[in-house]
Amino acid sequence: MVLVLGSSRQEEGLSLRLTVSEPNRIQARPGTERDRPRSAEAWRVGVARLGVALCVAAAVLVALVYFPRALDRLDAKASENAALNFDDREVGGGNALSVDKDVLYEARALIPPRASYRFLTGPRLHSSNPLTAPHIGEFARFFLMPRRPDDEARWIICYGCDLGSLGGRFHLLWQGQPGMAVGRLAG
Amino acid sequence: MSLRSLFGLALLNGFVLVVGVSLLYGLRGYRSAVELARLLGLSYLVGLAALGVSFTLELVAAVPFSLATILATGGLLAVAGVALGRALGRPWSLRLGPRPHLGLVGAIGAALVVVYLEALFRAGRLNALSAWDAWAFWVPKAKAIYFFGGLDEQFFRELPGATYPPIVPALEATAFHFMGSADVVTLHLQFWFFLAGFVATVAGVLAPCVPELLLWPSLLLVLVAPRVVLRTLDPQADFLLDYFFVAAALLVALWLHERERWQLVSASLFLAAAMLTKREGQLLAACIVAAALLASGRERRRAWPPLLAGALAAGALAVPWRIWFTSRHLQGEFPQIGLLGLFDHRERALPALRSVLSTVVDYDLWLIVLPLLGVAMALAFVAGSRLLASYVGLLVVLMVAGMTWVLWSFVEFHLPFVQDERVNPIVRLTASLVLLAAALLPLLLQAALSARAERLQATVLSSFLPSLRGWRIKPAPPALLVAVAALAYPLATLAGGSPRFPATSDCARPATEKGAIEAVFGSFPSARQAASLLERAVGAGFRGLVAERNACGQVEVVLRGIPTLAVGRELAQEAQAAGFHVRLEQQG
Repeated sequence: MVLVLGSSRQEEGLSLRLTVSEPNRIQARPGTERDRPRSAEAWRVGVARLGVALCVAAAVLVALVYFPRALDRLDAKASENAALNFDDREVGGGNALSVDKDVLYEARALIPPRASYRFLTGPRLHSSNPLTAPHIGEFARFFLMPRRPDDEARWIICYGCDLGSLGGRFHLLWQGQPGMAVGRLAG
Repeated sequence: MSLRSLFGLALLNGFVLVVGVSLLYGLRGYRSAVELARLLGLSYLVGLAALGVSFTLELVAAVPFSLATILATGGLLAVAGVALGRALGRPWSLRLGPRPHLGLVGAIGAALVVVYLEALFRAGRLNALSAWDAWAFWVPKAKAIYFFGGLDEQFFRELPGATYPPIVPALEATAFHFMGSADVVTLHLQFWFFLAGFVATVAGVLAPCVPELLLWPSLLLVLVAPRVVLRTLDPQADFLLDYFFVAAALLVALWLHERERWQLVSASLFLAAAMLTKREGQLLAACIVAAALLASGRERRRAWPPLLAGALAAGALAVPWRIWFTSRHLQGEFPQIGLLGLFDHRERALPALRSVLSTVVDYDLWLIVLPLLGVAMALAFVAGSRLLASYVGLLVVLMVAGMTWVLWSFVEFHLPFVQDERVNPIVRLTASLVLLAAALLPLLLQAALSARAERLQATVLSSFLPSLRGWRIKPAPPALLVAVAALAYPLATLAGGSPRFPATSDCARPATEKGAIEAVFGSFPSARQAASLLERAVGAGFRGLVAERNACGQVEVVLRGIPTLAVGRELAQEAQAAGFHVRLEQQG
């Protein structure tokens, strides 16, 4: 049998038609051979209703327990975000890489937005964070956009590189911690 | 981080909503203002999907991506929706229509969800961009589209996930255009709008067909799941994919019972959007189509042709992106071992299945959402709602199989599998199942109850709160409860101080009578610029000056250790006489 459920949906022509058996007409009078299928039907309906009630109770209970916890977490997150320094917020994921912010800020200030740069790492990159060396280039690419990374670029960002390897054409514009520098190749 | 960015986002999402309302008018029309309001969430999601798919096609066709393109695209879609609605004679009525039945349960549920969303908004407003994939490639791709006006060959080739479709970067780039800058902090709130749209979709679509007692607890349960709380605002594709997927799955479930054409057309649009959001979208879309085909096997003559047509239409919209990346020989769409290489790695099959199953029932991630969905499926089946139960059951089984295949076949995920999302993608993927439960759990429970739903609601309610039944016939107090809750949270937080909009000037703390102060001669983005001022100041006779970068990323030329404000003022006068403008600040 097809039952049409949900009156307001029906009014809007969106009746949800769910194919179900006929539970509503069952009158449980167990005992006779004839009534056995009806008893089974009633049992199924009873189980379904009990199950739904238990599901709803479980959902309500867990949702109400976790709702304040969710608010607490979100409030804590809001406070944590508000307390961040401007640069920590701006650098974001770079903090997990222990980036040297100075070199990135200098690169951003010195290299024109539409220019290309070469990002060099090397033997002077010392970081106790194992993520720094493999991912610092990726992070610089994100942070410095729209500047483009390019292996042939004349703008050089030295992140622990050996400046000597750049030769005499390198014009140093900024130098920070050992191995951290921004400059430009002449030519 | 600015107020302008916030206004920009509000404007953008209003624009998306207008596009969606027009399109849904074309697809089905609105019989009353109440119905229009109820379907605003669905309209928003339809607008988002349509814009996302259109942007992708335009990007592939190398149409320059600018604010003008965005507005023209939205305008054309809106006009097309209205024209379609007129041509097909869709109803459009703004009379109030049947009053919505907001009972106390619905009001409490809605109030809690609204407060939750407000808290999430507050948490996301100043969020640093820390999610790895977000800064590693999703946002860089968005920046590339924003700065270079298209699918920049270099960035889209070199960034990780080269074959990942571009809906999320395109929508993020759109957000940048509306914000007026690549504000990666405020960008998190765009994902808040996505979530709010999704919640409104589920609530609006289900409200007329399931009782409030089934709808709101399920929705709230999913929202307070720890991973949903922590991850929904990350500016990456996972949750947006899930929203499109769940919307499609829900509409297909309704279509299987109601056979309204607009449901299938909208579902096809969501399937296309899912496929263009993330490559997993293809897997999820295939699961929906396969589950619907299998579940409707008895009516295949009537059900299969439109289902297959919808699936083909969705697939066709995803083809141009595939042509774009395959023509550039970009790799990474499928496992390196190939589809048949799977059987050379049989030892991974069981651990993969175990990893998927243990993740979907992981209480610390998803609470009891998936076990409840399993029970609800069984109950609906027992109660005789075979079609819905088998559709959802097949969908879940296929999704679990698909996720197992992912973990099995991508051999770069090494054995033994650990439940850490940095090295195991299953944690992210299972969110699709959990969000699916938000929409289908209430429907399954309703199917299990059949016509007795209203009675159960009344019974359960009256057992707890006997006096509350009367509230159901008075819509004003429950609606008032939602309004009060919606106002209470922001007012309570505003009582602690007005919202702050961080800027580089935050590091300037005005000098007071207490504590040591410093005299700032100037602040610059570069040490090189600071050095010239420092040289000039030292040349003018000021000693003890240093140039240091502050916590706002600016290099300050500063004189520290000034004992009192009076001494500071004298110094400031002296500096002014020498041609310097000095700010007196509290020493940090």
